[in-house]
Amino acid sequence: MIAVLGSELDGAARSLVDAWEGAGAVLLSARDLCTRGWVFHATSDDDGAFVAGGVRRPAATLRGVVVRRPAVAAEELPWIAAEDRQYVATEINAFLVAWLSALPCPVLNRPSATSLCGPAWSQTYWKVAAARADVAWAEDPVGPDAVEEIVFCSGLHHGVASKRQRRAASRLSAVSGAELLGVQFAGDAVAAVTLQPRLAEQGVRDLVLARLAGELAA
Amino acid sequence: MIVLWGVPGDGPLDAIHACLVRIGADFRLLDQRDAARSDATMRIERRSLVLAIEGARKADRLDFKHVGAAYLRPIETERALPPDLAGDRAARVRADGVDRTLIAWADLTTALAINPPAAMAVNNSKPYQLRLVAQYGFAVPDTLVTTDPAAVRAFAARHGRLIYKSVSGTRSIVNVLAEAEQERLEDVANAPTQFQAYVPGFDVRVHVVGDEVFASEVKSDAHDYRYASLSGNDVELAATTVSAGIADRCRAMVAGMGLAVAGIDLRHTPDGRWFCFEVNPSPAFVYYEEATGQPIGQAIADLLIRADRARVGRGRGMHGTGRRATVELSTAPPSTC
Repeated sequence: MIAVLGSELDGAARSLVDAWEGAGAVLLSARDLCTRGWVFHATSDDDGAFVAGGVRRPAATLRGVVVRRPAVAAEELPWIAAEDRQYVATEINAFLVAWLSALPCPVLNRPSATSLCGPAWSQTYWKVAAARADVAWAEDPVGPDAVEEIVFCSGLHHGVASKRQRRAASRLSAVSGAELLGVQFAGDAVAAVTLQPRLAEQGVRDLVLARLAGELAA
Repeated sequence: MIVLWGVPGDGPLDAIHACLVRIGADFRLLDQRDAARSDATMRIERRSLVLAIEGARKADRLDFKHVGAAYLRPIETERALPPDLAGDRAARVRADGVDRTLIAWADLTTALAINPPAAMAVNNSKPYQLRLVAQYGFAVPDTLVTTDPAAVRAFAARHGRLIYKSVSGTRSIVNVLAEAEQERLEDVANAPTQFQAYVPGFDVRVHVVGDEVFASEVKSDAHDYRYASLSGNDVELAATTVSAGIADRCRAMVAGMGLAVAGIDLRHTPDGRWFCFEVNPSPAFVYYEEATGQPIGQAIADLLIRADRARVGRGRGMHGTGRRATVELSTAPPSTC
């Protein structure tokens, strides 16, 4: 089973679940986090359980997770009393950071302490990371027509890319600890980075699914 | 130069400020309440991180290329707004921009930041931090996070007495699960709730400041001595020592978490084991200092000064190795304050 951690309102997440139906994909929504059935032994390897699609499932059946959100927002919990909504959202995010970090299966991307999907880096952070990794960053703002985007996942990529572009994406993946990232290039210089790249194309989906299925090493 | 950032009146910030004044250190206090009347610009120039803060007056300008160490005690932007700007949306946005820029600088700089915000964020997920703690050789309480009342009952059957506390750093007060609360267990279905096996013993708070270790023994009948007054209990603190092995473990853990200063909550059990419950990356050390006489604030001030001097000697850039707890400290003797 593959879990796509995303919002019920996120069409891209739901589309991914539909596309991976044959692989047993299921949407893990905010509603599931407020449903009876979660069991996480944070300090031992005892059997756990999770809830996705409203159904309790053994944690051992999970083959991989794709994270499509940096956090669960209070506004997504309308069934919680308004005065407790922010607190419950904070608790859910703290729980997910621990749970996603502990899963033995592939998680794209593993959370950091500040985001459910890798490090919560602004473009400034990425620029500094790029400079420290000797990766060129585009000096001037680049229009959308002038950039090429590749999706990088576990050492492989989707999209036409030069050797320098591949090396740049690889280094950014290494310094950030994020296995899955979308990198926009202007020539060989990086123009922007996202940890939630579009997964609409079949080739990207196949690449990510191969990683989740354990066919690609981390 | 050393930068202090926060709101005057905050105990730890005031304590460090007083130390630096007495020492005669080169420092600037950035009052967070001024953020709504300031601007911050950060850019990368010739591979260096360049940050400048502009205040209402020209004399308020601060160029961070001169900053070698910083002590950070910011509060939420909203709470730091001065009363005359409370509710002013534009002021809040402006202040938020300044705060975010300073936080980014603190994460990215090669100067010593006590502590880098990203490293501090680990404390926002207790079970996540607990898994890290276990890697440093401390015992940790058996921990269950669940939305399943039946799982809590099974956990209680295995461990007997349980405590519960928040998963995040919010509303983080430790409580013992009482028999009378069994009926309320159905409420855990609403959101993941954290339970831990109760660990008997006495509490020791260890403050790590760079390589220095200060231990305080805590005597209280409260389940959470930090909030002892809420349960009508008293707290007695006394300076104590821990073995060299435990001290080394504390130092390694704090450095490994990317912190330079931390308050560690330990419990020594009757059978001689050391449990670690939490690592606080922004400890309110004044409470312990006043009760035990341990010079924790002075040690932090000394750490800032040594890091600042080392950075001046080393030059500045983005590729420096002297960040956080691994900062190459000078051999200057500690100052007295």
